[in-house]
Amino acid sequence: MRDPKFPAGPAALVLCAMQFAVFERMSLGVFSFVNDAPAWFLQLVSEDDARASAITLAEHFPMLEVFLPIAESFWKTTSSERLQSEFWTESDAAGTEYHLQAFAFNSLTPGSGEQGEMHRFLVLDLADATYNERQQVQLYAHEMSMSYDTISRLNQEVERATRAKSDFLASMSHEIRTPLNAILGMADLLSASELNEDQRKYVAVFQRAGSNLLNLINDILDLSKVEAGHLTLEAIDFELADVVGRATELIRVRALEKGVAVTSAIAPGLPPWFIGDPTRLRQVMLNLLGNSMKFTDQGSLHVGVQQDPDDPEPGHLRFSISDTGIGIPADKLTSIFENFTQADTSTTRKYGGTGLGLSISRQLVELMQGRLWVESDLGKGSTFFFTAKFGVSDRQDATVTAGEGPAVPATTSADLAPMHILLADDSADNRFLIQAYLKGSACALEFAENGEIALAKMMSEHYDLVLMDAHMPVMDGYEAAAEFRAWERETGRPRLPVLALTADAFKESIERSVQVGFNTHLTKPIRKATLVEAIQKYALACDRPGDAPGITVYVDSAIAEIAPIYLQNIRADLGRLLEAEQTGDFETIRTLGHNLKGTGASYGFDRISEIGAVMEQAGKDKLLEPARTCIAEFKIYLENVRVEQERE
Amino acid sequence: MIQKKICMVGTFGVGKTSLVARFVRSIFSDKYHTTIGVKIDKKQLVVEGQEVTLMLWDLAGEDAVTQVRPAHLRGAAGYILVADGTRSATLDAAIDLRERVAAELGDVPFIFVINKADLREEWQVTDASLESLSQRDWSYLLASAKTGEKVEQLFLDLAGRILKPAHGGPASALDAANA
Repeated sequence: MRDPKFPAGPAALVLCAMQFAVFERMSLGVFSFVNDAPAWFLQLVSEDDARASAITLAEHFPMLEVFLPIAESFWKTTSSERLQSEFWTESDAAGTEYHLQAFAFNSLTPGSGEQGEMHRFLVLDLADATYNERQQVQLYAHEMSMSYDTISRLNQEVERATRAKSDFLASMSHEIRTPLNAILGMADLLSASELNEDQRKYVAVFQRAGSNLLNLINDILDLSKVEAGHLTLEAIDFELADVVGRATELIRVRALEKGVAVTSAIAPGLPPWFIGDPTRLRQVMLNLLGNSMKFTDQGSLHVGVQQDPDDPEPGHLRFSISDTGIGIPADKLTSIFENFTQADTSTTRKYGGTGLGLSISRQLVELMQGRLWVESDLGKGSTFFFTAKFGVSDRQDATVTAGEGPAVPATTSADLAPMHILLADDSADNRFLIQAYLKGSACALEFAENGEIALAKMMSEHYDLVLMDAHMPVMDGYEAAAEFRAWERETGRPRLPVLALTADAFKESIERSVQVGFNTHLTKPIRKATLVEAIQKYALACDRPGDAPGITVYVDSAIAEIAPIYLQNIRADLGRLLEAEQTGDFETIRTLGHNLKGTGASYGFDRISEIGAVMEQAGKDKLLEPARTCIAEFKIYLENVRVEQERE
Repeated sequence: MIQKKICMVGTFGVGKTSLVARFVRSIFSDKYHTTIGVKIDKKQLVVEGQEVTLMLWDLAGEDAVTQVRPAHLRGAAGYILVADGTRSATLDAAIDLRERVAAELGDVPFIFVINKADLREEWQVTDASLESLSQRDWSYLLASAKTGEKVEQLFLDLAGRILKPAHGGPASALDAANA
């Protein structure tokens, strides 16, 4: 009941009408009413309690157990501020909710003494309006936060889906390229064997069809990579004339067959070297040249490069590829750049192709910050233009453009030094193919069907080189290579050349190969020459362990005594050759190569004659790289060769 | 009569208030009303022949600025950690909260509840994360405030464990204080 100290006046009535329940603190936790209890209070506290002269409020409002201890400290001060509790919500028996807030304050009332009398008040307020405002703000914040979470989750799902697409492409590319590798390789081998005319024709058909299929797969992969954002351009120095020269050279073969002339012109005044991605630039030019070639039966193709007329910035170029072909109708000038589209659906039959080339070219050009378009006169020809932004390199030197310099002698498996090679590949076809590729060599090939077997062999036996498929059951090539490299480091062994051989052509896979410790990444389908060159390069580049298997040469009893003396003599040549290699003395390389070619076989060292022949040619052609390879091989041969008399 | 304080804790929007409303008043509303401060409800039960009043302190859900306040936990005989099955982060948050609540309350009974079992097909909380709760010997229930599934069991289980502490552990001292 109301404290008789406070007379019921208009003020008390107003407090009640404003839904305030005002109490004066009597003792710790015990309060007396200042005004009559408002209606809400009577919904939460029984009539008897509400009408008592004193009330222990925390029994009815548990939240005050949290607030009152703080209020007690506050009341001890004489602050004129007020202390405010948090919101809390109580429900009555019917489930109606009351949002409450408590306030504590001190008040000095005029009293008998000079100081007056200090009263400590507690007010309970039905704070629905302010509560609702706060709730609205909070609700808005929570909804924003949940939307943000949803967006982040959806983003993650999109990223996951993109990754899944990319993984799918990688595995599809692997699945398609692996058998294609076997088909193309076998076709190569078959065409090199003795065949009658009909058989040769048949083989040529599946070589050609296989190549087309491979090109198609490469196109699809390129397109998917661009679309998935996986394709990033390189930024390396390249010589413009070299890229243009190589591209036109490749198309010239087909042009010759058709009697179409191919010309090119680079505007004078352009710097010779640029910074960009020459491989992708060449790909665009080849696509456009191939496209023009396809639709041109007579006349000429012309490639022009000049400063972009609309952009004077150095390195910003405009390329044009003009033909005298059938031309493109005006209404098809844009649609031809879409996937799987040709100007006339009937031309698909006549001219072949998937219609992917122009779409890929357009996307590559856009990656080069340029654009691709075409202008055409129906029946007279078309000109494809594209612009690209390159950096300008300060290099000035000129390299030999393909087709102009002397041909590099092709490497054959017979050129390989004898070595012990391990091939880890789960595909029996591929194992057979690589075996066939290395058939003519002195290499001993061993197989492992998965990474685990390969790893065990690599750790227990000596090999000169390992070819390893990246994707294998049980343990894949990446894991095997990584474990092997770790083992090499732990045991302090020299680094064995381990080459990844896989159909997986993604840049990420190549980077991963290097990361796990493969020396290089060879992409299937691999041509014989590429494989042999890689083996040669990496086998020579490695440190040879002392226990390398020797090369035993069996010689005729008549020369058994003089053969070692011959070897002794030509060891002196090795010193001169190494010196000549250093100074670029091709004449010495040619002469010594010529001598070795003539003498080796007559002492029973056929291999020396072979090396000598290649050396002589390299000297004659003044080509340092093949000369260096020969000299290195010659050195290894001399280090490992052992002479034995032929058994009777 | 025995009174026991139980705190509902968890991230905002997981359904703490809805679980209490379902348990105390057998109602459910799809409309989301975020709790400001604390919401206090009472429910009388008979557990193992004992009459008990549960004081349910439904604490405002944690968000970027709101954190559970130790003062609100004080005196609780047990607590319920609420997560939302459709938001996996809320279970991580509940696990994190358990540590903070235990630091304040000590070794009192608690139970995890993963709410919104009616939306099972939209769940992000995986069996593996539930398994990790079991591995730590933490009891949990998959409940739905919307359908009422396991809601009663949730409160009864916890009340039972509060009233019958295993081998008179540290909880018994608190019981005496709360009784």
